[in-house]
Parts: sequence; structure tokens; C-alpha cells
Amino acid sequence: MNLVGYAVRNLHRRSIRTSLSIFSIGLAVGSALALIAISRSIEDSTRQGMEESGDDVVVTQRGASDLFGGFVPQQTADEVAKIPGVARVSGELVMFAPSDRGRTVLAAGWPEGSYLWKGVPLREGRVPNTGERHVAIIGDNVAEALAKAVGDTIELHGDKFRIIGITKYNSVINRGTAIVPLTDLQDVTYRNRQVSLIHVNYSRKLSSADVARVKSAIESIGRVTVSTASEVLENDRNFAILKAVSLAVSIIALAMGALNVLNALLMATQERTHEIGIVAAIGWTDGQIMSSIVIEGMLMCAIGSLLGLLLSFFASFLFPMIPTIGSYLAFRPSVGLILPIVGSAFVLCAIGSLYPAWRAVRVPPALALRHV
Amino acid sequence: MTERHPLIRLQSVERQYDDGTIVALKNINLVIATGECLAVVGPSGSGKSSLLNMLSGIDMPTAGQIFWNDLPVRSRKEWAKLRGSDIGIVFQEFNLLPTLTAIENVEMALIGHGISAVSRRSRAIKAIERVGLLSRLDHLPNAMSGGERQRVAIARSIVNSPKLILADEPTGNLDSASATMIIDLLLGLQEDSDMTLVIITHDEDIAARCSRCIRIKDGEIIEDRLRAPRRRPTKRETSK
Repeated sequence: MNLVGYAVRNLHRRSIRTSLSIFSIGLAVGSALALIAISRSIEDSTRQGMEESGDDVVVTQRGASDLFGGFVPQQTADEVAKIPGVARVSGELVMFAPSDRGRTVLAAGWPEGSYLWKGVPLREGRVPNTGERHVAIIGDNVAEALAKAVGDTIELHGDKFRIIGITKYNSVINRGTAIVPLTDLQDVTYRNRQVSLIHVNYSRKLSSADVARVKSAIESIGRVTVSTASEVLENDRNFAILKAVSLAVSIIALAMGALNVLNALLMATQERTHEIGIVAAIGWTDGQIMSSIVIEGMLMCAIGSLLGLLLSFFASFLFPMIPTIGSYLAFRPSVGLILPIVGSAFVLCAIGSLYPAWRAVRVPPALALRHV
Repeated sequence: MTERHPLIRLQSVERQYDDGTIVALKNINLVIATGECLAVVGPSGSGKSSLLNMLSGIDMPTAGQIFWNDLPVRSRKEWAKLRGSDIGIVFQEFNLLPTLTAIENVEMALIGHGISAVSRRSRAIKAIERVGLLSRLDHLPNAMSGGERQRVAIARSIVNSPKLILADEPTGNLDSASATMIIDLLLGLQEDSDMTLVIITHDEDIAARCSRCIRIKDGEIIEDRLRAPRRRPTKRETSK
């Protein structure tokens, strides 16, 4: 018999309450992991998607709250292309579009002749020919979710587009995108001569001074801002809100888990006042008594965290099956995410255990022994 | 007779409850020497258990001082250390932990002393052997009789080889046969190891078997006398 053995025995004797506490910690850790992993995965996937385009920087409307909320005149791309140090540019209109079966897909419009078309990794089919209208190449996730193949049609904003190719991008966001000629998307969304962003590639490896000069030259066009993919995401208000909400919900979930531990241990120590008197009478110090109670809390936390990990991994496998979002979002809890969340759970559970432990040793042994 | 060294000394000890409304102990001055067998007798509510609480440090005096080996004991921590090494307590209600087996209950008194698990186990077995309960090592308290439970409690109290054993009405919840066995056991252990034994009791026959008896009434010591302990009755005398 030792402190851990005694703690295990005490947890086992009130198995239902212990199980409920462990389950609540598991749910807290699992939901915190899933929420933060999802929020990070959206950001990472968007960043990866932008990087797959091979951009050095993108030009967006200055002050736009997010990627979908700002528009730039299409002709700005021509002005940017003339700046020395800029190798190639392409406008892109991007937005969520209602599609078949009540689903929403990410729709992107690229100009005819854009270099972006040349970089598309095709699984099958082809890219649009010059002057070809109302055609689409769709991501493999979209094809799978909507059960579409080359030769079928896909509905975007109520218009029919003939599928001529299926892509095989790596990023989840690109795998969930339908790409159509820019003019078609501008027409169906009433965004004539407008794009959401302009992709910019520098002509050569520029020095930081050259990059600053080019950036300044682009921004002098007016009402636009130049950012790297990471900067776009950092300044995106949607991502900021998503991250804040995920963090807040995670903290609340973890705090609820810790409160559950506190409640379980408070009740347990209250019920065991007499027993605490006994161990005090046989010479246990306050430190030993507190340790035994904190160990109970930590054991519940350890098992609960393990359960939470399993739940989050289970959820990550189920997530892609969720209609409408599963096709362009995916998450996997990483070690970098697990450590801080489980660490936070342990800190909160330690706090939740210390209070009942402190209360337990406040009662003089003689008084505790009289407690029935 | 050689002078015995004072083991524990109470100096002007008082214990009041409810802001002085209840006075459990009044100006208690008491010296208990090493190797003594002391009976504390008195009616219910006289302050016997309060005295035991003071002697074991599970309660603190509201006034006065307590000395262990001539050194004052003041803090809860000091008392906990003494109970862990030098003082064993036997309660009327046994006070065993219900989820632990007999041997685990005894081992509990050895936790936190830097003793290895193997050594804890072997010391606990030896203590249980001394009280004659080897066959009940792995029994839970609720699977044992009252007498057996009290023997486990005694094993727990002696496992640290204490200098002082405090027994609070150790036979109060036992039938007469078990009570005799428990008293024989406690007195036998005291004689064998020369430790100090304090028995709180209201049974004059038990008190008569101790070499010293103090009588308490209304929180005060009204009598403190030495006497030759009565020998243990033979089986024939018992059967008569």
C-alpha cells in the first residue's frame, strides 16, 4: 500500500462519481483539442492552399476584414504587372457558392490565359480552352462529395457548369474548390470586373530592400495592401474570431472539467472526513493527506485526458463525413496541440484538487474523528 | 525503585469549547513516565477522551503546554511526526479504513517514513503476527469480528514501535471474552517492550490491572495513585 494505491482504492469505491468526473474531463480535453485543431486546420489549410499557387505575395483590398470581404478592380492586376520586379500576376475571384444537393462549395474564378491554369495538378480531364465558357474543373473532394465525374454538370449560384477536369491538389481547401473562368463567376455573382485578390510572383529572388520597394510601388496604386499568405491569415478577422471563440470555448470546457474534479473531490473529502481523521491520528502529516487527495485528482485528470485524446482522434476520423464542411476541412490533433491542452487540464485539475485537500486538513483530527 | 524518565508532561493544560462555554479540561498537570501503565478512569463526560486527545496531539489545548521528553510540542506538524513514530492510538471504534485489508491498514501507519514497500510489508506482517492475526491478513474490516478489528488496530498502533500507546476505551465495543483478550494483549505488549501504556476506561477491573490510576471528574484530576497491579485472573477463576 502506498499513496497512489490508496488514491486508486478511494477512486474505485465511488466508481460512478469517478467515472462521471473522468468522462467530463475527457469531453473537456477532447472538445478543446478538436476545436483548436479545427480552427488551426482551417488556417493551415488556407495557407497551404495559397502556397500551392506558388505566390510570393497577394494583393487585396486595404482594410478588408477578410479574404472574402474585399474586392479589387480587375484592371489593378495589369497595373501591378507593370511594376519592375514583378514577374507575373493573376486576379482571382473567390467565394462560397451554393451547389448541388444543397451543399456549398468554394468557387474560384481565374482569368482566361492566367498562369494559374498551367499549374493545376489534374487527376483527369483538362483545363478550359481559350474562350470556353461555363466549364469547371473541380477538386477531388467536391467530385466525391457530389458524386460528380468529368462530363457531368455542377451547379454554382444557380448556373450549370460542365465539368471538364478533376484536380488532385494536396491542400484540403483546394481539393474542395471548383474553378471556373473568371468572367462566368463575375457574371453569376454580379462582380463584373472585380477580383478578390491578385496573385503576385516576383521576377527573381529579390533582396529585402527590393521587396519593400515593390510592395510600396503596389500599394501606391491605392486602396490595396500587399501581404504574404501568412500575413493575409493573420489579418483576417474571420480567423481571428474563429481562434478567439475556439480558445474561449476550450478554456470554458477545461474549466468545467476542473470544476467537476473539484466538486467530486470536495464531496469525497467531505464524506471521508472521518477517514482523514484516522490517517491524521496514525501520523500522516498535512502534506501526506493533501498529497493523497491531489493524487486522486491527478489520476482522474490523467485518465480523463487520455479519454479526451481518444475522443478527439475519433472525431478527426468522423469529421470528413460531415456534410457541407467535411469536404474542405480536416483536422488531426498534433503533439504541439496536445501538450499545452493536456498541460492546462493538469494545471486546472491540480487547482481543483488542492482546494478540497486544503479544506480536508483544516479540520483538527479529533473533530474529524467525531464526524460520522 | 529507580526513577523513571518523564515521557510526556502536561503543564496547566486546559481545553475549552464554544468560546469557553464548555470546559472539558481544567488546569491539568500530569507527568507520565517511560514504561508506565496508567489507567484513566471517570464517568462519561468527565474529560477522559479530551485528555487522550491532548496526549496524542489530535486536539490542541486552549491553555497550557505539553512536553515530550522535556521538549515542548506546539505545532500540528510536530504532533503528526510524534504520532507517526512515537505514539500509537487505539480507539474504541477501531477506526480502520474500510476499503483496506488488515495488512494494508497496518501499512498505512508506515507510509511517509522513507520505508521501502517490501520493508513496510514485512513490518506490518510482524505486527499482525504479534496480535495473533496472521490468518486474517487479507481480510477487509467488515469481514472480521470486533475483537479481530481491535487487534488489527493494535497492530497498527505498534507497527512503528512507539514509546507510548494510548487506548481510548479499547474494550468498549467488545464482548467480555474479546475485551479480556484485548486487555491481556495490550498489557502483554507493554510488559514485553517496556513502552508506556495509557488506557482510558470506565471499567474498574481494567484499571486495577494498571500500576497507576488517575481519576477524572468534571475535567479535573481528583485522584492519582500508584498501586500494585492486580494479576491476570486464571482460567479457573474466570470460569467460576
